[in-house]
Amino acid sequence: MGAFLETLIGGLMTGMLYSLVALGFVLIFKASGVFNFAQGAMVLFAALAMARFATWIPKFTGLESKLLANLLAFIVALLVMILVAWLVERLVLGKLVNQEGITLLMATLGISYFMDGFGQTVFGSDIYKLDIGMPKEPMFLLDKMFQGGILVNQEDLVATVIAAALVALLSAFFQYTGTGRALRAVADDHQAAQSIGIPLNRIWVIVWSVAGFVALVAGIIWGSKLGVQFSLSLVALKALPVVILGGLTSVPGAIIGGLIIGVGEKLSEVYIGPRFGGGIEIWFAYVLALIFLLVRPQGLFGEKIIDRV
Amino acid sequence: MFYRENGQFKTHYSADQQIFPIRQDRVVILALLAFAFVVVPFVASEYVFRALLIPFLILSLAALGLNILVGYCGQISLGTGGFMAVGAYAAYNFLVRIDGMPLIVAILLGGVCATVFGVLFGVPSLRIKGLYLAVATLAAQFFADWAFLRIKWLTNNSSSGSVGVGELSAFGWTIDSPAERYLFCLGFVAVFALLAKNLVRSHIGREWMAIRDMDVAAAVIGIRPVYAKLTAFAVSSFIVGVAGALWGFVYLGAWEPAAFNIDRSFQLLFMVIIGGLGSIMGSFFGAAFIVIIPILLDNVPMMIGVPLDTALASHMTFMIFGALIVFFLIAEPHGLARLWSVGKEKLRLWPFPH
Amino acid sequence: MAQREIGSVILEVKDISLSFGGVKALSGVSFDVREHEVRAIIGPNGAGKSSMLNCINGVYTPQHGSITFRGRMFGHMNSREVAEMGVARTFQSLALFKGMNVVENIMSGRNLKMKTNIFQQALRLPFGWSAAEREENEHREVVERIIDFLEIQPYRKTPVGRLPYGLQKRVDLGRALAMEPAVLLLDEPMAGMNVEEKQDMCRFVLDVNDEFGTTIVLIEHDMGVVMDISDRVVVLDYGRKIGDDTPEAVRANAEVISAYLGTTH
Repeated sequence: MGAFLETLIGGLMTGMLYSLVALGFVLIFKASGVFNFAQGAMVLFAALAMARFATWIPKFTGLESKLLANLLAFIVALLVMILVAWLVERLVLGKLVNQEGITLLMATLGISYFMDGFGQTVFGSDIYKLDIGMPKEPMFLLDKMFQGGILVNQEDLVATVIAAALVALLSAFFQYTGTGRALRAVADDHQAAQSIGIPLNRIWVIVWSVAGFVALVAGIIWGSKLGVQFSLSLVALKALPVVILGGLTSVPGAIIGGLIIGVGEKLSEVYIGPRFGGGIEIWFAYVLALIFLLVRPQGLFGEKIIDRV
Repeated sequence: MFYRENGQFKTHYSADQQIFPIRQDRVVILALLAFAFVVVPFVASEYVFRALLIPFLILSLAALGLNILVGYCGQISLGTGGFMAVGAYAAYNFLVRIDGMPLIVAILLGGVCATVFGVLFGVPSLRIKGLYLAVATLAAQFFADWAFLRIKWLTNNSSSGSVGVGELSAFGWTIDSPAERYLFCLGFVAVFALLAKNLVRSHIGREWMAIRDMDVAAAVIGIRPVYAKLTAFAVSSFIVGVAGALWGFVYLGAWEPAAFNIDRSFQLLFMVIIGGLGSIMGSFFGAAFIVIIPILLDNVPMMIGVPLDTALASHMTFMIFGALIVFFLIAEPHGLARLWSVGKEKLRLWPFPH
Repeated sequence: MAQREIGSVILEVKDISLSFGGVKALSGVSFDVREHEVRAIIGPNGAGKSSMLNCINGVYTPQHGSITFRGRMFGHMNSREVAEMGVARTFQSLALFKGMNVVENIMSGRNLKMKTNIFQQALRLPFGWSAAEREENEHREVVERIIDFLEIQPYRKTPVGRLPYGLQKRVDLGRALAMEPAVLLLDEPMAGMNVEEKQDMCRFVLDVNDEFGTTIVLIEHDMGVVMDISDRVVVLDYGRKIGDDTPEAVRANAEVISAYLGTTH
């Protein structure tokens, strides 16, 4: 039983991390109707920026305080992501305003490849350490109930808290602010939103910046855990099944979807995997999403789309 | 003034509907085919065969298959690598496990297995579109990655999924030298390109395009979306599976699952986008483009005296591909094929401006 | 007008109700259509006219009611079956296949009648040496006759997206005609046209009705056209039927007048 709980909690933690990345997807889809394939590349790019600036800033300014260096690096990385958002809007999205979804998806695929290449050209392609002071020692909970206690990763715990806070913040943003409402209008119908005077370009820059911010947070947390490396963008691809499960337009859906995928992956790997030779983690999430698509395409919390002719 | 249709009157619908209605086009294509079949085998160097022509031919074939699905029928697929893998491993199994299995039959059977796989993963496309379908096809890709690594039976009990084929021979001729391999692939590609072009200009091609353009209107005309989408998946997967078998047997000789991973899927999608969605010729343009760029990046900087290290070159490849995808989607969604036909239009008017 | 004889009821809709979420598009609408006649459906915007046609075609499924075609009753229609039974339609917002040219669009209307299988099509050889080629030529001939009829010969190889609106509407009609339908549903075929284009379109519609005896169900806003060419008229308002009679009678109907012009207070 203890082992099961451990796996479960481990899965929940991983799931939370997936949700963080998925949040970025949902944001952009909610506000611009674009399925941003480049979200994973953005996570990697942001993490690279953070990691490199965290080493470059002390080197060039002689700053002693790690905390200050990290803080500065964070701000610079955020500015970089906002610049990226602006560039994406100017160079790509603005020119593809009324194209179909499939064109926009392929454009984000192109952006993803470009960012991967560019990020590694500018920031380098080694594995970089990201140290923001996350607690690395594992905790052992409930050692009275279960022998030896249940192993819980403190780092993951902190990540969960951060992710939960982000979600609450973003949900509030969408529901209660004017900008949030404008974003939802744009997601519904670009042309209608334009016709009531919502400045499409500015909205898109805002959304992609927020998504960039989310990518940065996700990148820092993932990077702190795994080290910043190229495979980060592949891990981020896992966020796709998450949004399928949760519903492309739902922020809470991204969270619940992430948790389900995280738990499902871990549990299936431990309990079903051995029978099939192991390693089923690489496709479990996708096949689960596939089944969901057949049964309930809009996901758990998404909206049903009706085609009118 | 050379590219005029003056005097080329069509007196029969068949003449109007043929693949190359303009006489000059027919002449050029026949000349090109003659050159490819008769001259190139004696003239090209081993390097040109191995690094350029053979990968170009096989990837063109795969891109052709993918174009039928994405360009003509409008269904997105990110799992093409997985289908190539199915074709390759299935053909391998048929060749190795059954005594006396002819090479070409094994390759075609590999394609059939890929068809079955493709239809299975095409079923979700009946209810979902666009980005949802993209995720579903990713499932096919990752599942194939895993299956050929872990399921021993599929790889004839190889421990890491790597398999190899020995000497290849068809109709008594061994296919050994680069020129022979090239001709073998060229034969496949020429035949399949013709079959594909025929399909695309017949009523099933119009069904696919109708589904792509407006599926509600297509249903009202009596087209069955189910049939159209599944046939598109089936035909596409067959061609891609055959290409996969050729890739493994003729180009690589020995391979492991990573040869058909997700990067391959993206690469093929890029070929189709850059070359031209919904164009048979575009698949060739796209493949040529994607094959040449890394080679240029390897060689040109050295030639102009600014050597690039391989890691940087590969990053720059990523950047160039990404930027080009975006560029083509914005400026010319119909890719190089459209640029080509625009060029031909201008040529028809030359030397007059309009 | 023509010497065609108006036959018995070929299509009947009974008590059709259709809603989308909270919006009730149609409430208990019933009317019939007789063979060979020209039946108009009129009403203010949003009255549910297109929704009615969509129900007949199987694009929407009504929550309540039935549709009877040639004596067979259906609770809901399946688009392919409807097409096979000989019902074709045009769309209010053009639903042409933008990726194809005029010939290909109209040929797609022949799709139901083309029977060669996928292998025959792949192995197609020119000049009648293969079944697929012969079939293609056969149907191409029919399509060419339609192109002649609609006077769009110079545009046959033009991608439809490049044609002006009026010509696109003709191609839409052509595609529907290619199905050789018994009943033709036309959704505002003259919307957005100038006077000459409207006259041309009227001529085509009447010719089709005359020569082939095709039953026409026509949604139209132009009262002049409706009065001129229709035999009977159905009037819808807010999803309900408020009139069902000859054009003259409907024109004099007080409820219809107030629906269009509003009542004085």
